[in-house]
Amino acid sequence: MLKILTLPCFLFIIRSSLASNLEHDGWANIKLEHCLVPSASPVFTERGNITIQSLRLGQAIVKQNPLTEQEKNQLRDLAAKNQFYQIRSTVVASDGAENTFLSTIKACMLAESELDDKLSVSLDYTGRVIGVTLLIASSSTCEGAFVPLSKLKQFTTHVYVRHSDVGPIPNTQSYIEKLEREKEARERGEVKDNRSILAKYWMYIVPVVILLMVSSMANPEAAAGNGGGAGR
Amino acid sequence: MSTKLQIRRQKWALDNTRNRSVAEGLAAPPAFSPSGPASSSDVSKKTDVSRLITKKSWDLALAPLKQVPMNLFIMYMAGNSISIFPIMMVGMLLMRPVQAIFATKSTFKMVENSSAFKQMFVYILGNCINIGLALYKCQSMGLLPTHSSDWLAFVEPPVRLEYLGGGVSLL
Amino acid sequence: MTNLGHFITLCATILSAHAIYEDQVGKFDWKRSFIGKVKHAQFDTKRLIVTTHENIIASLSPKTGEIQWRQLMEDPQEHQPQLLHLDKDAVTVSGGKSRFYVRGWDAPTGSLLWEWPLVLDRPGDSFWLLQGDLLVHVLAIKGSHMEVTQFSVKTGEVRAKTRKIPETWVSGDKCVTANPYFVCVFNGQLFWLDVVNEGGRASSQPIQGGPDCNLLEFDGPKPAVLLVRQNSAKIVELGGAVLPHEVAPNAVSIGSSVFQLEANLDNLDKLVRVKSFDLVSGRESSVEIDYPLGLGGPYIVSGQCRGPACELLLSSTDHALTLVRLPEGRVSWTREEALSNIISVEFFELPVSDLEASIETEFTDNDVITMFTRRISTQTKQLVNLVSGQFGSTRDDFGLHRIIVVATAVGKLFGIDTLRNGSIVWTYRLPNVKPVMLLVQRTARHAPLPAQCVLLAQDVTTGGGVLFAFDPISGESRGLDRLSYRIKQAFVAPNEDEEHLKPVIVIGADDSVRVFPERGPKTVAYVYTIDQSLVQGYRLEPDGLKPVWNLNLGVCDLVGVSTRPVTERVHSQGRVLHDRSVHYKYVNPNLIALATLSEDPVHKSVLNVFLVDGVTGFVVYSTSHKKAKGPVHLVHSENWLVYTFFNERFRRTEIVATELYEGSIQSNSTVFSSFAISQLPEVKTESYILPANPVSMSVTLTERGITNKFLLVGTSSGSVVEIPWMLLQPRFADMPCGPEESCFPYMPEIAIPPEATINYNQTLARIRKIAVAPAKLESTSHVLVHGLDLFYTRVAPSKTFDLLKEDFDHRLIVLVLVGLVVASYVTKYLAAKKALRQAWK
Repeated sequence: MLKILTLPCFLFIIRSSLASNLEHDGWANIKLEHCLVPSASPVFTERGNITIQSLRLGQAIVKQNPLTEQEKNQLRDLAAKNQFYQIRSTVVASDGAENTFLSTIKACMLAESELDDKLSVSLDYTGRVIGVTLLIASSSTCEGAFVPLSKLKQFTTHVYVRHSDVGPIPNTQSYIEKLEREKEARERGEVKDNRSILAKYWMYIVPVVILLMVSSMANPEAAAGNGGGAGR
Repeated sequence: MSTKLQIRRQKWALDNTRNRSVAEGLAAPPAFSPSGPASSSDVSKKTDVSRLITKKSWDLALAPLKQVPMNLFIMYMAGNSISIFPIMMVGMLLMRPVQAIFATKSTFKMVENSSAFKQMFVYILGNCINIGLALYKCQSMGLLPTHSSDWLAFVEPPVRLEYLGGGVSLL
Repeated sequence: MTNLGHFITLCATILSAHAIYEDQVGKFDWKRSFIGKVKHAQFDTKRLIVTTHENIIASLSPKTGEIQWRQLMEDPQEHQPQLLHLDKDAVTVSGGKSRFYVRGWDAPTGSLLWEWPLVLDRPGDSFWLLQGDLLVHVLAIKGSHMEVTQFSVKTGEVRAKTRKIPETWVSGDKCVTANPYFVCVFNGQLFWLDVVNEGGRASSQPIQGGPDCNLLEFDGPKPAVLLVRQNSAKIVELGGAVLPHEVAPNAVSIGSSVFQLEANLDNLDKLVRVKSFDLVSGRESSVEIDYPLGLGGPYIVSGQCRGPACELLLSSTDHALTLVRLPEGRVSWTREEALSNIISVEFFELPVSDLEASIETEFTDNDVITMFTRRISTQTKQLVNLVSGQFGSTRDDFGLHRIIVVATAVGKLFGIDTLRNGSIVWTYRLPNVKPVMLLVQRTARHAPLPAQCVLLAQDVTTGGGVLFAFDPISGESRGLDRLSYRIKQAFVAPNEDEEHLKPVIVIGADDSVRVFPERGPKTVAYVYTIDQSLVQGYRLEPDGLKPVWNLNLGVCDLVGVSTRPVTERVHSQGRVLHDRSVHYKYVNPNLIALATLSEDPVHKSVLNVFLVDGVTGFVVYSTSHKKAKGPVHLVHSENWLVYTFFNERFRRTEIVATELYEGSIQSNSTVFSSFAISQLPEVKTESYILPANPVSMSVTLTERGITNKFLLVGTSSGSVVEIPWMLLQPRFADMPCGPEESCFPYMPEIAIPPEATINYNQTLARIRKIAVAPAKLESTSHVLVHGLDLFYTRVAPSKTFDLLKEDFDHRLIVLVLVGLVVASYVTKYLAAKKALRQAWK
């Protein structure tokens, strides 16, 4: 009875501690800008806007404009020349803090994936955004690629809000339980194991007996069979 | 002893010739046909030998198959643990059929009959079955490199494409 | 399935096998102890008692300079020795700001006789005087007054109540003690007051000299001080006259003589001269001493005279301690105390011997006769070497003989031999620099090209970067580059030029990039810098640095950064599971592990650990521990990270292992690119209790990475323990774990058996870092533990599987082989004879 009572209690504690972590679970607004012309001082143009309504749940609304012809051409050139595509994301959190993050990927990978990119928004334990990274899901890279314009239409961005894990703690409870279980098992084993020798080791004795029987009965034939088997 | 015998024989030598002629005149014992053993003709004698050879060679060809139950029993006895005796047993199980297959020609050298080809086929088949059994045993003992982990040691580390340097600012 | 008994025996067999036997002590390890820069020194008849800036009291042998005993006091960051007095017992006062400890030590044994603390209720400049068993503490409060308290030195009992003496001349920074007076210089006048005997009155005396003159203690026959102006000094006897002698500021009086050092430019072999004069008789003398060349500028710390024979203890700017005997001017010993504070360590393989080099060049000629003569000459040389038993500083077969190059905080470089008990092979002193790190440009593997190493340092005065290239084997300079700007970051680029020299890339404070040597190949690399909580990633292109990513970790303290060792090789690309399938590792060479501590209103302080890809800035994994406190130590190797911290809630040290996996398929087995992420790595973590207080942590490295990994943990108790990584490796929750799977069942507390201590009973003081390098022998790694002591040993985590055992009986096996050969010949002969006899029958 006691155990049943403590479990919900324990759950409640966990839940309350989580709630306090992300108690100011709010929204975040990410303004995305990208740079399509490589230069020493990059010029960023607007790409879209992402609103994460709930940081805890990670639901995001992505609003991105289709690429203009000029942008498509620029992106194609970037990909063909094996250059880098850079985004700048300005994050405005619910508490008003504003942070700017850069992220860079290979343009050819973006083009080859037909503008299917992933945006990872990393949070720390309080739910503050520490970094925004653009990623392309692919198992290989490229060294420049020519992609037809028809494949560069619109970004299909998936937003992943990545929380900080709760660090593990030494699991003493289950270890002690395991020890107790083992101790119990040993005690039980000691009580049980007073059968006769025959009952305990029949599986070793039976084959030996069979072997003896077989060898005594079929000795001459076995010898002949062996000779044949050896191909002599 | 032998010299004594010789002397004795020499004593009786004179009588010998006479006795032989008497023996010729004797009648055959009852139920004795002098032509009896000779009547089994030369042809039938020949077919008998060839049948015997066929039988013997079929025995030879079927021997590996007959060994299968014995091998199964040995396999059961050997167990799946990897130690010197089971390994030796499995080694023998595997080696003997292989050797037998290689020695097929010399085994069937003396066998020259119409079904020789069939017999050789059966013989090889039987040995193959034995090899298969041995391989199954190896598999169950975990000696065959059929898992990805068996090839892990040969996987080369990937070549890194990007190089990273840096650290905490020294300013 | 797996029972505890099995596991314990397994543990015991694995762990106990790593301890060494008694007769192996000192066979492949050595320890050297240091004391730091000497502050005070007092001679006794048989010993020399010193206190040092490391807050240590030690006794040295005046004959050899060896440490007779050494006692560590509080952390030298906050506490410093203030007074050393040697009478029958040694008395020390150490402390700082407002907390002091007065201690008495037994001079022959170094055991603590008595100790009492003194806590001041207000901060000020403290001065100490000891007369008889009366300890006088003077607290000077600048411009206002001083408080004088007298204690009984042994008990700390207050003898006389604190006297507040209102004197305006108390300035604090220009005051010294001259038994029994407290002396200050103020407004061109010298003031002094007898603080030992009550009722004394302040006296004053005008002095010539501007406001820039300073006071130094002078332990003369009469109470006196040294009045220093610019680079010369005068001896002022209190209540007496200013002596006419012009002396150097480092003048020291022993008995009635005054000793001072000066540069000797006449004789280039003996650069230092000791000048002395007698205060009573006025007799002057001068002795040239053969001061060792590599040492910095000396000054006299202390001395003692017995008749005409004197011993002077010199300390130098590079913290070396030298004892000079007069009147011969001979140096009896030198201690390189710079080694007590090491900044960076690198291990270097020795070059191949001339002999082997000549064998390598043997077939370059086509001429048969020259080839023949060369062969004959090399073989003669080999024979000569074999007979004479000389092998010199050349490479051995197993790469166990190495040169350890260390850069010390004072800017002195040392080459230390791993064999021969850590003897110093060479030293090189760079004045006025603060070393930052050592960078290896070329190893000794590219014979005949010599190895090359670069010391990255900072100029002490300007803060500008300094690059010093040198040969790590001989210690010869290859050029010094003083930059006009500060260095933000520097690293060695991976691509070698045609001379196998890896260029050093230096990034200035203004993000300018320079490559050393300048003709080096152009590289494209990624660079990251961490500035407080801002992590910034750049791409290095031939035309400069381009920012690529950034992270903002918020308001926090960065407590640890760790990347994988550059030279590390990962042999196995996966972990074999119980069903013989493979779980592939996520081995990302660009992964940076960061640890930060941030304040939290609810959880006090929170430890955050991030794994960041240094090329894309992607946070691969992040975790946080509430109520965690430093010190935090990170170790990052292969596909795993181990960190320790102090859990304030349970008041224990915890050690956490985190491992990254790709899963059951390897996404790309040929190349690794940080840009190509097909799936998020799978993270396994496990936490343990560590029953020790770690001060440093490191991991073993081997040549090919086949050998198991051991974690080396330096503890505050002075031991270095090895913990097998297998013990920490996170278990798969749904899989069996036992000896068959070569897996240790989970135990929440890491057992540290005494056999796991690699330094057995040799306690190491104030361990700072553990440097590890692979040997050529796959099973073995070199380990150098440095701190106040230097300890070198070799560890073999999987035992020396590639070496025959030491007690392997070579003689027996030779005997058996010879016996077998002889027996076979004899039987052959006998058999032939028998066969012949049989044939004749």
